[in-house]
Amino acid sequence: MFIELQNVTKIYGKDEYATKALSQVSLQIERGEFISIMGPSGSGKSTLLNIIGCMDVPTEGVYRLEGEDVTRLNDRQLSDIRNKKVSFIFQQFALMTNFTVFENVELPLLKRNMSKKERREKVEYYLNKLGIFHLRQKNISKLSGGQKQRVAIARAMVAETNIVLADEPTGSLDRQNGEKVMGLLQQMNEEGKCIIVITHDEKIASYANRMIYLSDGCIQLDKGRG
Amino acid sequence: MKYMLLNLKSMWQRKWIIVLMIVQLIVSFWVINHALITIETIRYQQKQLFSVTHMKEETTIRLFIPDGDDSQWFVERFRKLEKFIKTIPNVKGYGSFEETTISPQNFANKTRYMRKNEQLYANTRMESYTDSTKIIYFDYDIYRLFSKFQLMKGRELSKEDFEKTNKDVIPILIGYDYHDVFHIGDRFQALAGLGENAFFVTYEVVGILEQGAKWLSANDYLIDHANELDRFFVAPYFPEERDGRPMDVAVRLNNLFLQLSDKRDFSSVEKTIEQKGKELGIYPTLKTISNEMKEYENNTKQSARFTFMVGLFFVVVTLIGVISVTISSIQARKYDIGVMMVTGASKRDIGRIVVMELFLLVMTSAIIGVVLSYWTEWQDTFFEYNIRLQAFTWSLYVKIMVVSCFIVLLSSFIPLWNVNKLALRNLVEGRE
Repeated sequence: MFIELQNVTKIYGKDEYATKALSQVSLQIERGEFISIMGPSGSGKSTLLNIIGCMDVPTEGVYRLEGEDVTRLNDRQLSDIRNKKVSFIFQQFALMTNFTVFENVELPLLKRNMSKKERREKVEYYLNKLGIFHLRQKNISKLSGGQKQRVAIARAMVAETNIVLADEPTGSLDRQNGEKVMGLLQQMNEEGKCIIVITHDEKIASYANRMIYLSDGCIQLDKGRG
Repeated sequence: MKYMLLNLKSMWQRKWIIVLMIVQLIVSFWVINHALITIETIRYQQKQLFSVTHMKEETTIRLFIPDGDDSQWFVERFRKLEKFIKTIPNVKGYGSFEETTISPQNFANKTRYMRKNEQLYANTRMESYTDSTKIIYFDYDIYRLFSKFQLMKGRELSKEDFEKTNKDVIPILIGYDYHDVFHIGDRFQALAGLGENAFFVTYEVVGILEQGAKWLSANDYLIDHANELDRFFVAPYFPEERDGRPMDVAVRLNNLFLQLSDKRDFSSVEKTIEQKGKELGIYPTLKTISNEMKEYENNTKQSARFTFMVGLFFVVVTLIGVISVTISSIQARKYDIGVMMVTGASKRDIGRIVVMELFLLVMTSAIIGVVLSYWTEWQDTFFEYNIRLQAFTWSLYVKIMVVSCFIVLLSSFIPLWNVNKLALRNLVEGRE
């Protein structure tokens, strides 16, 4: 199994301030799936995505990524997974605003054993692929929302990870740009990557071939699982 | 390292805060450097004394006569005391040295000599005295027991050379820089005495000093930079120069030394000399070189310690500033840190960036602080040499490096703890 969660629970806070964000969630995801996660605010979608992306660890339960128990890993090992196995696309883009497009896209490669030339070639390849090569020296703060999300996607692509996690990737975009972004995610899925998208939008969810509905930290519906 | 380049850009974006932090650190380093330079200078001075002379810590004794002056009354008594000292069995040697200036005359190479001095004295306080050369006069015992300088040509001064009369030809050793002006056997004359009593003394070159020869400053043998003898003459005292006028005797009071055979003789010799002085109505005191050095070291170290404490106070104030600026910079860059962590940076990587940033700030400040200290010491150079400039050696740099590392260590502790507390899930999208 590619991604496997067994009875994963996540509790924030302690004692009377404790909030259960996820409750006994079990989930199995195969390589190359395109999944949308839906649910009302506070249902635990982002917490689930954070755990899958190794940005957070479960309070209870087991999370296995490619057979490896991630819950046992330390911060350095988790950061290695975030670098080599998982990429993220966020609603607010998560780009370093005072840096250039090139510098932002290059970020995941800085942790890898690559020469400056190799990094430059790879970054330029994906910038070209996404049609934003001409923006490479521009500061992120000078870009439009659509352009920023393309940069975020280029950064996810350059990492060449097998999992791409997108948390409401079209939330800050107009319809046209939203469709373009989803088209790119679909393209990445066709290239064999596992895409997991959080969305409130049924139309965006329809790009996926499996839909998971969360409510009160529990999976209420898992539709289209092969 | 690759993250560091990104961080350099981020630092550039925060340049004014960083400049202010650096200025604060530079002031602290400047004060600390001042104290360290003082301590280093003491070491240099002690090392210099033994590298330039054969003086011995415990058996070379300095003779002080605090109430000595240039009155005829004192001079007569002092001469009696000197004669007496030379008769004490445990005193292996006694004498003094003096530094003055002479103007050689009546010799063939005078034009060349003047031209040489023009070169040697250019941009120094001697530049308007191109007809003169500094000379050190020695008593035989001081020359015999303490001098370390070697000759490149000619002969050493002998006992007979120190027994010449005013009318005799006085043998002289010349500094290396004059080796192409004077030759062995050359003679010149120079005035001795004052006013109507002045007369010409004839000198004959008997040796040329090896390059780099050194001897102590007659102004303060312990504290001042040693004289480099390349542009000096060295000669034995002759009667007029040594005792001609009461003033000549008073000048010698600065540098009176005794050499004992054994350090155990010190108290008996001290008692004998003090007793004789009392009989004569003058009050000599004796100190071993070692004691004099310790006294000087203690006095100087006390003031250095005070300066060091002031420096430490500055450092503490600066540390508080550096820590709070670093923490607020981490808080302000939380989003960027989150982005880096999302793309694979670990907390250790972020911590490394914080430490490297602090290291860079502190080291830049330390280097500028050292340059500033050198510049201020150099500005303070009233004489040809400022001995404090000699403190700028690896030993000082290593100490500053240690202080810098200490500052980095102290200032990174709280920010690192802060980094460790960061929760990635809160950084990028600000949820929970």
